[in-house]
Amino acid sequence: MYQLSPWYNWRIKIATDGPPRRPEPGSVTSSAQRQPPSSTSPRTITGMTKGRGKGKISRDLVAASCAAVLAVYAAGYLRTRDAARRYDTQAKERRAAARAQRPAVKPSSAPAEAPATVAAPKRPALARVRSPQRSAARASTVDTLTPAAESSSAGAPREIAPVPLPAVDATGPTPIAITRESTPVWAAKWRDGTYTGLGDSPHGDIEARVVIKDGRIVEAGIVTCDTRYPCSVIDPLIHQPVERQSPDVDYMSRATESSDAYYNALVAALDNAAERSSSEATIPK
Amino acid sequence: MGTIVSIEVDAPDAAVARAFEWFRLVESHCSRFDAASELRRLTVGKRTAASPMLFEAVRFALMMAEETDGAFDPTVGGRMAARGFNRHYFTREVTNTPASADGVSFRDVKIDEHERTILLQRPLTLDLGAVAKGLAVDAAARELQPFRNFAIDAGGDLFLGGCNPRGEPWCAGIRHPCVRGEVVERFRVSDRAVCTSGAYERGQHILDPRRGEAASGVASATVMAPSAMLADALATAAFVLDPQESIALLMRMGVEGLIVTAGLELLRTPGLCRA
Repeated sequence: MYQLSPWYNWRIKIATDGPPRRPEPGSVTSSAQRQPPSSTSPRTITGMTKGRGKGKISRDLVAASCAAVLAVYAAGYLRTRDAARRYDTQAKERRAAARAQRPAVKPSSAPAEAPATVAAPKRPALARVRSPQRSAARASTVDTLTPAAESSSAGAPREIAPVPLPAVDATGPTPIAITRESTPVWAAKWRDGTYTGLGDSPHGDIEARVVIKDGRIVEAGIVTCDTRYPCSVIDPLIHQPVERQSPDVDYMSRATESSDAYYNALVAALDNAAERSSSEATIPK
Repeated sequence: MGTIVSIEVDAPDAAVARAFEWFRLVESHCSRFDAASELRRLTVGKRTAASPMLFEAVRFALMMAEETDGAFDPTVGGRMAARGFNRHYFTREVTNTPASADGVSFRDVKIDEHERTILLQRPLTLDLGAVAKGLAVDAAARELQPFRNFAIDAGGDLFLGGCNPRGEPWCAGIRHPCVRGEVVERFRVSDRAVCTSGAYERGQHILDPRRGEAASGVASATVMAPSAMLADALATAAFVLDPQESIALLMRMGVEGLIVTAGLELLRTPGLCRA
């Protein structure tokens, strides 16, 4: 279930005068503090009087309350939309700040004359709008594909978008991996050891871990999964870095954002593992 | 609104941001504690064009006042301030509430449905606390409707949409007015607002507008209704009315409720679905 981000906790504290409180899942209790005990358990009275015959007004009140909510909702819709946009902007700024604290990762250099092809998915069709970070890292492999119908941030390549992206549902059909005929091979020199990295997505973050032995990836996995959906949706991708010696994992249909988050986490982890000739981050080739 | 708002829902952050924004939006129009609010800018003797937020809240409050013969009355703001309920919930500063004339009532407020104006015929301060919070909860609930299952808790005023994480209707417990940690009764609720008025959290903060004194015959009044605005206003009225009258009122409305009297007797509407 959704959890209030620290940022929102802060915002709510501004408008309130006490500690934040969350309803317990499955059991919500109305009202709050009370005076010390003064008497025994309540007893029940079953008798009731009849109404005073104001049925017409009463029904009007029920209808009036619903109509009032509709009127207010319509009037305030644009203002709350602005709030959502402000939130999006601030969220992007936070993510950008978080990325800035990590070492820069330069794009892989797949040959431009060999553009990536996408295996046709049987179901469901995908809208493959990637996060700017991953798109930038793979610019050379995607820039020949048809732009998506939906605009994305400036400079971020877009990919085929047959239909809008369906929501990720862990209980839905098994995801289909979208593979590339030619996956770029990373030939960076990695130092032996265990490294972690963080990748984000609109649904939450994923922390990945890679183990390097003799300069090769011998193990890859997820350490922490903070996404709204279970990380099991990208299970088929988990060991691809070992097979490919690259963070370039496939996309899973219905889990593209989580795929992206895993990819970004791997990139960050491998960047930590990369040997550096100077103060500059290693460029994977 | 001087209250903690929490939302539990499986939804994108932006949608939750929009839901929370409704509380700020409604408050900026309807708070009597904020001198810059639209409510405080209403001028005595002058018809003032009102935003939909304020107009709908005032119109509904007046309808409720009429229905309850003044047991619910939004013109108690001045008397509430005189009793010390005059501090801004966040800054804790005493707000300068304009003095109200003696004997003001909801009949001193006139609205024009066509022009959508509000006229205060005598010096008075509106208190829309029992309506505005519910209105904000309802708007936030509508914002979250596409996500089906959610719980909004605004200081004990709840809107429970769909089911809980176990796929069952939400379980709402009504706290014992006197015994900490004890629940008087539990109900299964889905797509309903649950609002409780009681004196055990904020003290005697509900006046009986007809007598000008704190209501004392009821320990807590809980109402479950399709909208939080209706539930909140009815719970406030039920806290003031005679318990038997309150139950009759709720039955006329076709909503469910539970009254705990000062003597700790329980009165409930017949349709309550106990857990």
